Amino acid sequence: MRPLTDDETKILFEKLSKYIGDNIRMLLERPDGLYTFRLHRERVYYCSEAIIKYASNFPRKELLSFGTCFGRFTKTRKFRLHITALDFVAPYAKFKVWLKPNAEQQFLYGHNVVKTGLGRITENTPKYNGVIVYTMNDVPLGFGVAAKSTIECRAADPMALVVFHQADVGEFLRNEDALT
Amino acid sequence: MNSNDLVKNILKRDVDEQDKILKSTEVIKPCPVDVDLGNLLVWDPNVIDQQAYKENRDEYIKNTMRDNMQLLVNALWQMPIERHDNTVVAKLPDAKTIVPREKPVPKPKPLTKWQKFAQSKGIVKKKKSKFVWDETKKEWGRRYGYKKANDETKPWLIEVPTTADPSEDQFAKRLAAKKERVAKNEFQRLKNIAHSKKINMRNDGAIINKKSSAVDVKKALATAKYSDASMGQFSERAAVNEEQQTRGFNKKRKYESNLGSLKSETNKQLKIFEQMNSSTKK
Repeated sequence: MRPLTDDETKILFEKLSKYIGDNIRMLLERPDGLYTFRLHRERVYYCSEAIIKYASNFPRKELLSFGTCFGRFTKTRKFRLHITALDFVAPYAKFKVWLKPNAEQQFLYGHNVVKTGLGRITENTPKYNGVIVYTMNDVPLGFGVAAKSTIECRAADPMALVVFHQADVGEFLRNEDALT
Repeated sequence: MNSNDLVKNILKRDVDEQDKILKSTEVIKPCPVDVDLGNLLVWDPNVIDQQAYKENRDEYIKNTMRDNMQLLVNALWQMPIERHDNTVVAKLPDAKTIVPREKPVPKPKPLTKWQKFAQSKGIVKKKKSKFVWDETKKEWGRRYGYKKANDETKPWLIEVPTTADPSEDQFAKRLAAKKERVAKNEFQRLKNIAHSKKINMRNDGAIINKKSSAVDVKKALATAKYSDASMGQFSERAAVNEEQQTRGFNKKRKYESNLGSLKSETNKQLKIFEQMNSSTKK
């Protein structure tokens, strides 16, 4: 476990800002205490001061997880958001996509979203921006990347891809052993 | 037919059958076989009986093999035989047949640089005894290695030479000199290996790749910048672009403390965030 370097912080924020924009500030300045990011085995954890102190008592080799895993750095030093971050990212989402009930399962099995499955989409969503995927009754399902901007979506044909799949809550089952 | 004849007949048949089953140990071949006892090998130059071979191939081969095996065993029993704990042991002669070797003949080891030099100068290695007399300890000790005699790093007292700086640690000096010698020897050993493997090598031991990657060039540049008397402190500033490219090559990784002030850490992160924001808004 160690604090992120400046470069790593930058990479992390660049990725997060695609989903929550300026609301990263909300994650760093919380009224209920000090929260920050820690790197452990190439994974970034978001945790409170107390948890950091507890976790620092464990040898690095034995420590599996602490706080909330936001994602991991790939070998090429890119940042991948994990589904575990959803609880913290969803409330601050800037751009949202709502799925029709019959498209939910497809998305939860790890597929991209086609236009027929699209229920609603935030106005002015730019192309290739990060979006949070919701059901029609506002339950967050996962992350995606907008394959088309809102305007393009209107003109697209029904089978065109609208959202690229990034992570979904189905991973809690499918990818259980890799999530920390 | 009386009973006597009958008994005789039966006995004869029995003997015939026994003969068939236990063939005699005597084998007669038109051409004597070549027995190489050293390799436990029999070479049968006899012509194959085509007719018998075509009629029943397996039987024919089996019979021939049996006969030849018999000859080999016969020859074995001709050898001087000893008994060790109820086991019969025959002493085999040297092998006659030349068997080709499995692996190629080993190449001579490439000479080290010193060996080459010694050869050209005609220096011959003199055998030295492994143990030498230690005058101070009054006992024999190894010339080199563990518990060696006359170990110059071990004495409890060293006289400071009149020419030497009195504040200098003579013990440390000797130890450092020893370490230096060991390191030099190791370096020379590696150089010899590299030379024998025909690896293209620079004088300082760095391996020269035919194609140096961009990273290698950057590393070399960073090293060159760093390698002056001031350790890069006062060396001429490189172009901005160059500076950026070689940044971090000479630095050791250093991380913030894990349990430092969280407040300042978050402030730092906020600052990074603001910088990012401002750069994107422009």
